[in-house]
Amino acid sequence: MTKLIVARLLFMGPAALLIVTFLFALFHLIPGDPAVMLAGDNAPRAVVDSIRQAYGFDQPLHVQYWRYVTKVLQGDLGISNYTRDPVIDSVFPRIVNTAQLAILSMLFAMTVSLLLGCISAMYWNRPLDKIVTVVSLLGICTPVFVSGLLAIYFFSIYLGWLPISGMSSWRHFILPVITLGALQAAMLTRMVRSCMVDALGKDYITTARAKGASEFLVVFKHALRNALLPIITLFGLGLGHTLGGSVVTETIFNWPGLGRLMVNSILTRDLPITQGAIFFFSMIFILVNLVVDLIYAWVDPRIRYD
Amino acid sequence: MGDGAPLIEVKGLKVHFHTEDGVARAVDGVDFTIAPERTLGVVGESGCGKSVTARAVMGLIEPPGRIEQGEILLHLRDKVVDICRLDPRGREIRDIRGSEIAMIFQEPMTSLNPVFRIGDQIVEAILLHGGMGRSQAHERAIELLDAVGIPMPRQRFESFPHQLSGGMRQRAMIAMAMSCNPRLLIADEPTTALDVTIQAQVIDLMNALRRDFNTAIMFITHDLGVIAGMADDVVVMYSGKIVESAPVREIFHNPKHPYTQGLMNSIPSLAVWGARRLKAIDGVVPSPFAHQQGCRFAPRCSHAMEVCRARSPELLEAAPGHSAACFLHQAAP
Amino acid sequence: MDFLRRYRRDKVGAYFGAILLLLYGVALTAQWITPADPMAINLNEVFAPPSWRHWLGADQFGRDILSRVILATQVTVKITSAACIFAVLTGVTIGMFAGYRGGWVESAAMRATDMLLIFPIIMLAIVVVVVAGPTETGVIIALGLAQAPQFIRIARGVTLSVKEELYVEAAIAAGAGRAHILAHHIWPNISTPIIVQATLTLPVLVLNASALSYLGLGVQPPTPEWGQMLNEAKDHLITAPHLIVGPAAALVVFVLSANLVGDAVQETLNPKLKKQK
Repeated sequence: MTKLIVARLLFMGPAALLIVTFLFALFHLIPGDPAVMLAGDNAPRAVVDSIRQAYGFDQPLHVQYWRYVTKVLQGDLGISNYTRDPVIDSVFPRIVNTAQLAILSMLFAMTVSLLLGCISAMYWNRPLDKIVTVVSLLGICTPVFVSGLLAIYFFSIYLGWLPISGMSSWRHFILPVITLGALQAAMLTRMVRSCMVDALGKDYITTARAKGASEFLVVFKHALRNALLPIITLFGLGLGHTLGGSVVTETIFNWPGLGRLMVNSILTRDLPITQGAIFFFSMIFILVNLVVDLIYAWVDPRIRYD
Repeated sequence: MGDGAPLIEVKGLKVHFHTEDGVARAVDGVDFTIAPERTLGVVGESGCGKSVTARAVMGLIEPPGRIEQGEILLHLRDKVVDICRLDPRGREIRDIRGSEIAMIFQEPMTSLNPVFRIGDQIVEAILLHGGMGRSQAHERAIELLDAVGIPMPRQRFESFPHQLSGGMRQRAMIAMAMSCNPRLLIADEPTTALDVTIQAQVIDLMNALRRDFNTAIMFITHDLGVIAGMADDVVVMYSGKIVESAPVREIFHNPKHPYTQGLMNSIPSLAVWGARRLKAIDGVVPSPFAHQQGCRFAPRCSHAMEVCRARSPELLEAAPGHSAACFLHQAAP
Repeated sequence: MDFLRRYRRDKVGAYFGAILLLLYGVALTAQWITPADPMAINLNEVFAPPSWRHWLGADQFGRDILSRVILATQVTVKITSAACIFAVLTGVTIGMFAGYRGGWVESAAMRATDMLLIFPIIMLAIVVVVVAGPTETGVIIALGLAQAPQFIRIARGVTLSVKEELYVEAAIAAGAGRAHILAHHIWPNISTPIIVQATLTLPVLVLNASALSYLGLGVQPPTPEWGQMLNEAKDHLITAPHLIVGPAAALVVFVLSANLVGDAVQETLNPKLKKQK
């Protein structure tokens, strides 16, 4: 177990370096002069030159690279082309907003999918199971920007119950969280169901029934506890998907999160902000992946006690 | 057979599986009785319906399986219940499972839940049938682990299944099954997956427990050697039906049904007719989907007669206490 | 032919397969079947509600929505098919080579693949668009690269297992070249799992293509795309809610059919999976 933790933590270092390398490569991969790009298209020549010097774009590549890596390690991801504020300052509050949206959506999705998935597996191949299967299939096929628009139209415009966009009160959370959460719930329900159907077919389930355990105990203790192993991995992947989906959701609901910041920065060609957003998104994904692996190892006695 | 009230009576049991490929008649009219504290051996090749019969007795037939006909009468202290009539997920059958009838399975590797401690799985069985607090159940579980010959029971209580050998796991399964003093223990090929030496130990253990706990056993196996060492009475199943039923000595010394005789010939140490070579029975077990007229063994039987292919023989007494479903031993009507 | 016969047994798969074929038919013939010019601006008919003239109404420039949905079908089919082919080609090439070659090449390739698999596809696609630009080609490359890791994995897995087979070892011993072995022994084994994965990937590609264009990172206006049409419709949700109906319905029906066809193809080619469902 300790070996696993150490191995996974050691993986973080090279992964982060790889990402920083990619961010550096962006300067030169994107067509055009990076100094002009950073200064803005209409910047005076003097500004462009000063930026070229500050980043060392006139120096050989390895010098530039080294300079960039050390700057990033010191927490300096540059300054925004537009606001001229340090990237870190615009990115950090956005991370919190995205985390709120993603975590709440994921909690919603986990609750719904565990419940529906277990019920579906319990009533395997019976009408209730078929209803759940069809509804979750429809959910998977409906992207957030369709369900979100329908929800805004119905709840905010037609009924006038909920605000259209922003995040200034708890009422602003309802639509984005449920829209994003529902999509995840639909995907996860399918997978939870198949994990549970799989677990319910195992020999130890017959043993539990032969003991005289009630169906509730059989499903929610014996089967679920085993199905939890694959389900944890799924939930980890689900959190990744939720973060991916948050980019679109934030755009629909004008949510001041990291995803919308990233998209806007791409549209306005504000490269330092794009780099900052990619950097933090990547670190979040790697971290989530690490945590999922550790939880998995901790839950599985075959790994934990060996 | 034993005198007085039987423990369990199975009458005309039919279990069919309704699948996309058709109806499989896994158990197709089976009758037998188990008296208290007796051991019934159920013998047959795989696919003959013996495991399905056992599951039916536990009330564990799940769709697509269905009990089509028959009754399974369990004689409780104050009443008789028909297990076939109970809701397989209901309260009544759950009170019977584990406390009146317990079961152990073929695969000790997969029959224990991998994520729970051995001890906790036994404690769960004890707690399900009431009468004990958690700490008392804990002590009882340790006693049981000791009783089934698991060394260092206190430490083993904390083990997870993957930390135990196959033989130890099967012992733990037995401890779990015996935890509520069941009156009937169903053992579904409990030794098949184990090494030969471990097999013998488990058989010895079960014999010892049978005496200590006064439990009746329904012992399912395809291994006649095991039956010889355990059973009081034997039924031989073939293709969903019982073809012969007799006390254990009778079966070994005087097998009547050609199928039973064939089985005897296939045992190395018991080649009764002194045949030099082992004789396997030609042919294969018919598909349970096949709907065949006459005796199901007829296609493989060297004694098959005209009548065997036309009609299905009934299980009738051929000698006192010894029945066979074969026209060789019945006056043709 | 045997495949088609077995596939037809699955009623849901056959039914939605027909719908999917119909949608592809619409895509292929889009230029000829649009009832009006999808680009023609008509300021007299801005936000016209559905009518006999405009079955799905008209948008903020008075353009016929049905015609735009039809043309968008073509755009989507073009982008996703190209991206799918691109993903298969890169994925299979890298995966087969990595699996066959082994050693550090393999472990480097697989480490990189594992790392990419951590990221959601839409994220990978967005990052590639940053480099490749929000054009049709850029989107194709972005979606294709984002999906390639799945194919790398499968191709490498199959290559590894086939490489161990006796007949391949015999071929190597007989002096067959690398290209010969990859083409004649390994490729035939890879094709089935790759076809299954490709059909399962199709709905994902469609969803991500339209998500990109919803974000403004896909094909640029005036070329219509479902996601982009929905993005524009959002600004007029109060005045003209009917704008969302056409693109939303087309998108959901396409993805639903593609999903069900993917499931059916998988079941037909791997009947083992069916029992678990």
